[in-house]
Amino acid sequence: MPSHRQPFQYRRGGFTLLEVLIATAMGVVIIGTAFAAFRVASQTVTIANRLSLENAMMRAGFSKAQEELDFWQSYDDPDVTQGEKLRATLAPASLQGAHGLIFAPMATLLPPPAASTDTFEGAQGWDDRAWLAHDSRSWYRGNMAEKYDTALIFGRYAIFASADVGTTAFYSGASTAAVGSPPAVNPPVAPPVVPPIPDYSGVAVPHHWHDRQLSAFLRNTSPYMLSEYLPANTIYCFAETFSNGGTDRGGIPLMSIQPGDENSFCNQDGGQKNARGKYRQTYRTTWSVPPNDPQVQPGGPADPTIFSERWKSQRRYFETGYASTPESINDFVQVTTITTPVLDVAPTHWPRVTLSVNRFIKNARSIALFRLRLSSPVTGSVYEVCFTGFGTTLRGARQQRYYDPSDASSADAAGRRRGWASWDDPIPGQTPAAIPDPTLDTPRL
Amino acid sequence: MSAAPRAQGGLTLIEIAFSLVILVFGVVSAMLLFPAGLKAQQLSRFQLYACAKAQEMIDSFNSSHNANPAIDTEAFNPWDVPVSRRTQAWDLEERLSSNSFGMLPLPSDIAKRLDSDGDEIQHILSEGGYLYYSQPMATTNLQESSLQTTPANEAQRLVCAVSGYAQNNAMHIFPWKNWPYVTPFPSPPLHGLHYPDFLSPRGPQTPTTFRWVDSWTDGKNSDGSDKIVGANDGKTASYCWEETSDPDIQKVFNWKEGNTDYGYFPYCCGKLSHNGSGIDPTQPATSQPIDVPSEVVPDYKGALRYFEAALWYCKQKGLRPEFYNPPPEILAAYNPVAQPLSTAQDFPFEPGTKSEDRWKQVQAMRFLAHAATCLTRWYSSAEFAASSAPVDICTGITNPTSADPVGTDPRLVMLTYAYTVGINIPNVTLDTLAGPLAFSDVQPASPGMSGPSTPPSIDHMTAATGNQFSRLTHHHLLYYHERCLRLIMAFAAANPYDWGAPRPLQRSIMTDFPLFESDLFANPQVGLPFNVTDVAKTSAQWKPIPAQPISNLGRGYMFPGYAPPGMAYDAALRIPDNIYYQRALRPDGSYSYVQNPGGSGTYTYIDDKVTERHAVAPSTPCDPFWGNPAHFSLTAKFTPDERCREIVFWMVDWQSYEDVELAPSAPVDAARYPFAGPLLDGSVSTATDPGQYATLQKRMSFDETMPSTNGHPTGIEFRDEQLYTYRNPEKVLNFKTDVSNKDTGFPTVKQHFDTSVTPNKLVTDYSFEILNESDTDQGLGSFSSAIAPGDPAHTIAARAVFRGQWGADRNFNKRLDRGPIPRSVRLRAVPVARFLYYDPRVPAMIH
Repeated sequence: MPSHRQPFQYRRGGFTLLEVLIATAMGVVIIGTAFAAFRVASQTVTIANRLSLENAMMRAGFSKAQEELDFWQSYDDPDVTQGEKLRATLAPASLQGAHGLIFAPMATLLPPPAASTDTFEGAQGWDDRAWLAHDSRSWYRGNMAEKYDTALIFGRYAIFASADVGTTAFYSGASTAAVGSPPAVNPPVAPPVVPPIPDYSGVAVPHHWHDRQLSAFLRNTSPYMLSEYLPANTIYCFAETFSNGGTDRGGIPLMSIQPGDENSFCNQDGGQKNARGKYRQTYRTTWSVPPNDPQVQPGGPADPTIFSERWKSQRRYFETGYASTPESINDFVQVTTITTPVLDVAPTHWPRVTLSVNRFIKNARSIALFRLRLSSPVTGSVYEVCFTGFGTTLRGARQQRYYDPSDASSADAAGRRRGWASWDDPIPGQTPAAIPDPTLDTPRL
Repeated sequence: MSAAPRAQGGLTLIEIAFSLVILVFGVVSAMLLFPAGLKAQQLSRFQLYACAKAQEMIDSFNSSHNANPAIDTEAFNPWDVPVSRRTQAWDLEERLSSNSFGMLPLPSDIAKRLDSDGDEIQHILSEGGYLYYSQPMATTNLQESSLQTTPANEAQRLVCAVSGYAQNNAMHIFPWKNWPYVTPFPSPPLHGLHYPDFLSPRGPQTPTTFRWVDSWTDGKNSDGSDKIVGANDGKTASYCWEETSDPDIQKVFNWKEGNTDYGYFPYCCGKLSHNGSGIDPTQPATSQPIDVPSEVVPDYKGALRYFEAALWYCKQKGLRPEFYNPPPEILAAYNPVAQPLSTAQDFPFEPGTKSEDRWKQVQAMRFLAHAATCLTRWYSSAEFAASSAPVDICTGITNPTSADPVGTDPRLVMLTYAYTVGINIPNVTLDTLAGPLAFSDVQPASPGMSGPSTPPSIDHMTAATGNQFSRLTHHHLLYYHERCLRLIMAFAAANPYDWGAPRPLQRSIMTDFPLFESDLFANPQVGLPFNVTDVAKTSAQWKPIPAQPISNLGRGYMFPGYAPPGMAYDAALRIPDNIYYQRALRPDGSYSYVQNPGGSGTYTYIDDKVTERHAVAPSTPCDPFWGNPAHFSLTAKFTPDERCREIVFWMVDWQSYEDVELAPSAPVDAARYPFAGPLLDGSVSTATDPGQYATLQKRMSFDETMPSTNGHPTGIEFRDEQLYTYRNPEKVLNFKTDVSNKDTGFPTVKQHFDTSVTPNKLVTDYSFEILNESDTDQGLGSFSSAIAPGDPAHTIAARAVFRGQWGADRNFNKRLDRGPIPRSVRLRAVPVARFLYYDPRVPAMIH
């Protein structure tokens, strides 16, 4: 019987249990490692991407801050509709020019007179070639010791310089009665008889230029603008025709020497009653510039209500020094800080980066304070970098901006040129010599 | 026959193992790139922070005011005031290391745990440098105690240091005399408050020390009148500083001639000055009655006498009559209405005036203009003849129009006319010296005066008296004022090293500032601090070198009359006259320097700077006061590499240390501790012990509780906002008590609403942080504290606060923080950025 032999077959040996176990274990290790690796890699990539994104946005914010330092776009942006919101002026002032915000054209703030009256001391308007140490027109000629309740024992200094080019009227009469101000805190002991202050009318005052400049800056602009335009050691004081309630007996406007509340030019540091300069004015308190976006209203930048708000803001001081409180600092920050997102539109999961800028003068130092704040919508964490930096002054920023005196149209009128700097925008068809320096400081006299 | 199937050999285990190793190696290698990527991103972030910080540092350095107005800046020895060459040096690191300027020293305990490439951090520390961290608040000078909590500030992980050595910077303040002094022009002689102590001027010219009733109102008395306080508190003695260097000024300020008072002070303050020259500086409370004189208010007679004294001063300075009573063409030349800028009197000094004599004209016209303007309070424009043209009696007239006898000298006609308008100024003789014959006739013109009415004779017109006669008119007032300003403006611009006249306060730009540097290559000045006898405490300071010799250096305002109690005026003060050090023109036309030790008249030329530098060994004193001019280098040429320094930034998570806020502050430079100049001890009655003056320890504190009858307070007022350079740089963040036993997160500044007032008021409780407190960290402790003054426990506690022993709220979150990393762990600081810079060496601020 033939044997039915099965064909030879290799014995297909499977893995032993041990091998399977080892293989399985190794597989698990491999898969686990790979999974963990990929997980870590994924997380790392995510973090790296997030860091990269944050860095990119922080860089963008820092770059934006540098641009803001140089160009002041948050305050005046000619490239954006409604961006020129701080150029408004309103109502002629009593002496010359009009009240204006910090980017108002100088031609309206300190307008030049007709050529016939444009004499040496009688000149008006802004002249950036003046205010030199050797130019006698720029010297302060008042009496720095004269207090607002003066009895004029040091004499009359308005006979040397006055903002009034025509006839300057001087005080005469009793010397003990208060004139437009509270009684003296520490009056000299009164003698039995004090002769009245005699009449001093009919004299021609020789100097006007300095006092007219001070008057126009003090009345028509803001303390911040005043301090950025005039030399660092300028004494913020001048004289004019005496007026009961408006000046002291020597003709110094009370607004320039009499301490008052936050809406006054003079703070209450030491109760000082006489002329002062930048350091004393910004040692206890701070001067700043008007706010921006929170006050934008449909009425536009020329809206009288909005103008009034901004005018008030730019004319006040803020308690930020030794007499400050958390509330006053908070008030200062709220009123004067402009905060904008670095990106107007971004995915919701992207970190939010905002840049705030706050320009002010403290202890005579012009400060542009930036806060670059990053907040994560995922974790809620917030990081902030605050720093200050060198940049363009207000005067420089105004000189970057084109001003066309003939253009009374709206900000986005067709054909209006918007040069950041006058040297970028020569007037077509005119020779350079004919260019009247078309900036917000135009015209130069 | 089919071939036997080939055995399918699987991978061996060893092969798989190798494969896995390779795979793992690859995966790990790839994974290693991820952290590198993260580090790169982190580095990128911190490089951004470093840029922002560096920018802020340079901004703050160049534009921040460095005024510390509460500090004493003058003494007769430089080591008696804390202003020398260190604390306020014009050096970026020195200036910014303060609570106001953004760089705070990292605690040494932490800094020493940080590793860095090349161990650079430790090298800097070992050389006496500091590692700094970024102030959590921006550098704005806003009041820190009012600021809100700062959000998490990642940039604080940045630390930085300055690598490279500081230059020998210009002296910020010349401690013997903090020049320039400034005053408005025109103005009376400089005078001011000064403690009535033995340091006030006393001398042969009997300076006019006087007393000022500094009173103010504080509420009402029971009868409804103002309650006057503050008088007779001993703080209010004063004196005229300028007469210490120019005795003639005493007549302009305050001079009693017979029974009549002349000068500014009697006019301004009436009879208060009558006892002035008799005041005993050591016993002010008893020697000067607090009277209320009946003539306290100025009157026209006082104004006239002030002007007479100013006129008298002109003559004593040798000025010709045309200076103070010029002819019409000169009056017109100073009339700006007629003179456009291009033809104005740009050189207002008298013809032929030597440079060293200019100050006399500046001073003379300053006083004259001020005194003349005072008269406008008492006389009308009509009396000043404002509408009449100036008269020149020398131009001659051919057709007289007034009472002119035919054939008379036309000058006499004009002379007669000239004495019919304007204010008559009687001539005076003071201290046996006659004043000039200008404006003086004897006719009555002033209210209340009487006398004969005879015009002066033209015979008076001699070379000595000049030929200009008239009364004082409005035109003179304009001339005085204009020329006064032109003189001082020209003087300030052209003579920065002539200190014969103070500088004009109304100079809006280009205020001159003399350059000084310390001579590091000559023997220093050496001596004992004031009121110290222990030779072990001998002090030293480098001698000063000015860029040019100082003319009319004079004496300092604060201590012009230093002399030990009971001793005469000290004529041998350390601050010298200008006789030791003069620049001279050599015969060959080059400049050199001469030495004249002691003013003996024997001059020694120094050949040239190079030779002299080697000839005079550093150990050889060549002058008791000044350094060697050959060593002056502030204006020397330099290449950037000579002065280049680096700001180096690292990033390290130092805030993760467990003692991040408990570690003591880095050692505070002793120069940052404020102290007062020499002064009397206010705690001792000057009536019973006039010679008692403050110890150095008392000068290092402030005691405002001194009884007013004993005189003034002792020490220096630790005004926080006025002394920010003179404190621990971490001052506003420091804890003022031990908080190490508090839990993490403990609020170190607490706030709550006071519901007792409407609207409710937010009240902040700074129980644990110093912030803007003024006196917590002063050496003797706060006298307002519960601990008694002088209690050693208090002293020790205050010192601990000053040096920051209890740590600080270094992230300004107003809570106590601790990190997870024990202090035994070392961290590695990763380099982030390096910025090159060099210090300007000379004071300069951008405003």
